[in-house]
Amino acid sequence: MIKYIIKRILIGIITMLVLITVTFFLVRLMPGSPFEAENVSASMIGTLEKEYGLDQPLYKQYINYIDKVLHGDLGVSYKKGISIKELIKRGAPATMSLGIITFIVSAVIGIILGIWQATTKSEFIRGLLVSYATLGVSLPNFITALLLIMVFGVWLHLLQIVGLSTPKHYILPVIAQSFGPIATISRLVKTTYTEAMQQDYVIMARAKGLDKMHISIRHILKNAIIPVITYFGPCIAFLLTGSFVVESLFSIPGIGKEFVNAISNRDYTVVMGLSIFIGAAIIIANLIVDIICSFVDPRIKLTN
Amino acid sequence: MSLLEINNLTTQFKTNQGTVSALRDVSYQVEAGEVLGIVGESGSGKSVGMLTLMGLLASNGRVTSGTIKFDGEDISPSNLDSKKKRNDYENKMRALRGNKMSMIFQDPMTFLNPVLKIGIQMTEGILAHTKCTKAEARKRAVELMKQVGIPSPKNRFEQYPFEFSGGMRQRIIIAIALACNPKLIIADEPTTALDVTVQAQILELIKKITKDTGTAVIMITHDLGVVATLCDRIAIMYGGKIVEEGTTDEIFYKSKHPYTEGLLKSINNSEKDTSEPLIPIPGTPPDLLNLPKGCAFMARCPYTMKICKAQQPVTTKYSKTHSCSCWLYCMDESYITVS
Amino acid sequence: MDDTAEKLKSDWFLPIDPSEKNDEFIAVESKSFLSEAWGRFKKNKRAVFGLIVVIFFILLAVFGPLISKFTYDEQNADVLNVLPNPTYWLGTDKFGRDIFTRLCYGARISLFVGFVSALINLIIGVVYGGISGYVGGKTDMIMMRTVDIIYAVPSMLYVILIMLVLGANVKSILIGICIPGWIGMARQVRGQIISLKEQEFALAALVLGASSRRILFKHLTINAIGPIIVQLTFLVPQAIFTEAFLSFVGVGISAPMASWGSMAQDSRQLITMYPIQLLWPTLAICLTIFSLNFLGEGIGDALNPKNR
Repeated sequence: MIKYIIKRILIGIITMLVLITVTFFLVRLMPGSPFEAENVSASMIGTLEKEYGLDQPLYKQYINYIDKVLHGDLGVSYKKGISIKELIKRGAPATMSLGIITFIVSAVIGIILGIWQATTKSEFIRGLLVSYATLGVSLPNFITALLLIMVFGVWLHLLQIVGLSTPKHYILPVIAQSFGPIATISRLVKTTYTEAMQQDYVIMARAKGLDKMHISIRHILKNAIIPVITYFGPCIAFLLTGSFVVESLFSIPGIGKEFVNAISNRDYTVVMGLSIFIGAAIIIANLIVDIICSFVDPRIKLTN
Repeated sequence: MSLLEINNLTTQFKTNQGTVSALRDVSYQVEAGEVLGIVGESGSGKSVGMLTLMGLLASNGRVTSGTIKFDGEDISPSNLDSKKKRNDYENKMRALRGNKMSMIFQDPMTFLNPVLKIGIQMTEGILAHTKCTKAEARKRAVELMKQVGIPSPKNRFEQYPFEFSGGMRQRIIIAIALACNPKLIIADEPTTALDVTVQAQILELIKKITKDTGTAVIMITHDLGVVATLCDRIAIMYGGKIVEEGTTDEIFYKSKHPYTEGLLKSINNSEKDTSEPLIPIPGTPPDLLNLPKGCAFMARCPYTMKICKAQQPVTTKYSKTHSCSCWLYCMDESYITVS
Repeated sequence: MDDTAEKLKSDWFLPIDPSEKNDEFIAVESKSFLSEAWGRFKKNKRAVFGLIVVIFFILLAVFGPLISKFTYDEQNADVLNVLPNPTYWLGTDKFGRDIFTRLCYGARISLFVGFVSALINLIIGVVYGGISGYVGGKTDMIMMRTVDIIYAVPSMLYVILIMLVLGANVKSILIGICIPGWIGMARQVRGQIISLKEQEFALAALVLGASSRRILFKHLTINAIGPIIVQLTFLVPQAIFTEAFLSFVGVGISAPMASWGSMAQDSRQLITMYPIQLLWPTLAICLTIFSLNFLGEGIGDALNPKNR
């Protein structure tokens, strides 16, 4: 198992290097100088480029950049004049708190709905849950967010649609963000749970005279949950990229909003720095999920 | 009074293509301490019969008629038309299953839960049926593992199923079935999924256990060779019905039904004269979706008569223990009801 | 009288004619796989609904701009933010442009991006996954590690960066979607190929002397076609979603061109005053993605031989 974890960490490091390299060269390929603005003269640009080392050969810039990133320095925003580290520090609390709440809500409700869907005898409820699952998977989160803002914020004036200052402010963004993941998780749980229910070991558990609750939790759910845990990695990735629009739409001062602003301002260093940061966060999240999986599923120990 | 009395049991499954009659009007008894073999091809209804008995039918299965009496208690699964009746039945069965009545399953690879430690899977049944502490259950489990011949049981207790070989897993399944000293064990083709050498070991183990504990066993198999050494009595099933029933000697030496005859001819026996060829039964088992009006074996029978196609055969008794359902042995017009 | 009845009855014990033995069994009528699949698909109401809506949007994309009296970028200061009426079927936006016409052009872009990118991803995915799964060994390991590395970072990050480099137009959206988009397909195909490779008919073909390339592309891909079609039907809505997302964030289709995503973004500022302007593009996006997913599920169920 230690071998497996080391292998996963190595892959994570390689992925990180690939991400840094790709973002670096893509950003260098972008048209124009990062300092181009209406009130900046050509000579000014030259001096600034020299100051930031942009006049050096590309490979040197690349080595410098990797060196900096490895030391935790993601560069500075040329347009705003502050370090990207500082931007992340400012945005992290909002993004983290929203992300964690959304993740927990998605996992808990998704699993409950999935089990419900797999076990209900009522065709009506199953139809309802299946429709929701398809709706949730289909609906882009910015659409969900816009609809929520339109209905609850604008028409009904029930809930706040700007910022995150009170717990009540969390309601709409959390719904908007978790609407899709709940559907995906419930669909997944429904499939894995139904499959586990039909396994021979469930008949065996029943033949032992165990009660239903015991069988559902210990025998069925434990098997059904493993593929769901593997989904938690992509789910975290989805929540992070989803935060781009949701934070912008609800004016939440998080990393996602900063990222979208940087895109529309063409603030390349910020796009690059935040891409690397978000990518790293996702790679680490995937790694943690993989390690948790190897603990829950004893078979991984042997096969890897 | 018999330990188990089954009367006129009929089980059906609703499928997309129609209703499958898996069990048709089946009756038999098992005495305490007796070993009954039920023999038939796949699809003959032998496994369904056992699942019906244990109350473990899939949700599309329904018992349309019949009664079951076990150890003096009525556990008939028919007429469960209200929710209360169903719950009562389920509670009654839950208390019996794994306790007084347990089951050894066919495939040791799929019947153990892959993500639970063997120890948990062994003790959970004990904990459900007896008032004991976890430590006591553990002690009992280790004892059982010793009894079924698992070396260093204390270490094995903490391992997962995938760390066991097929034969060892089947021993675990047997140990689980033995956990609460059952009065009846149902063994559903316990050796089919195993290597030939391991098969013999497992059969030996089951024989030893029945001798030591005096537990009644219903042995389900498609292999007459397996039952020959193990069983007191044998019932032959075909197309969801019992076609012939008798003591082992009666089945092997005085068999009546053409199907039994065919089965006996097709077994590979080293004691048999090698010049005697193996004769397979021609044709395929009947489609339980479209059973013929008459005898289900008709299409494959070498002695088919006109009546066989028109009417189900009646049962003839030859001795207290031996009976057979075939027209060949009751060519008496008075039984004919069709015209 | 009694005698003849007795006689008739005893006839029952005469041997049966062998030809009569099996005549009760009527063979089940066999249908071709496709016609059976179509039968199953027709029964699935949601899938049929999906198919109808998708066809509707395709017709809208092709003929909509032809029947409309306006162009997508024609501004008219006299009719700003008009509500739906007989002239402007769906109203006008803040520049006085006809929303119906823009919606039709949006459908063109969305469907074009959706289907073309799905097709490109299909080709790359089938070839890559097919080779990886068929060759196996070290090649397979290296190819799959590469895929893992690309997959580990959300595609949206790559797509956004690529869009920034290549500029905002349909071509770069296609490139952006396709660079990471084939991975799911490649994995699916590889898994199918590996499981099929172990089955007897592949061995049979090999023994009969079929060349290895023929085995790969004929026997194996034809058998893997069901899951591939299902994967394909989910790639289309995925691409439509990505295009809408990019245009909404502001790196996709840019003014004056119309896309559903950019229309949603444009009308967002007017959400309090003219919510109906936001309704049209969101409705179009939802309906299309929804229907395509229904369609995909329906095709998947219909092609699954287990559902017979």
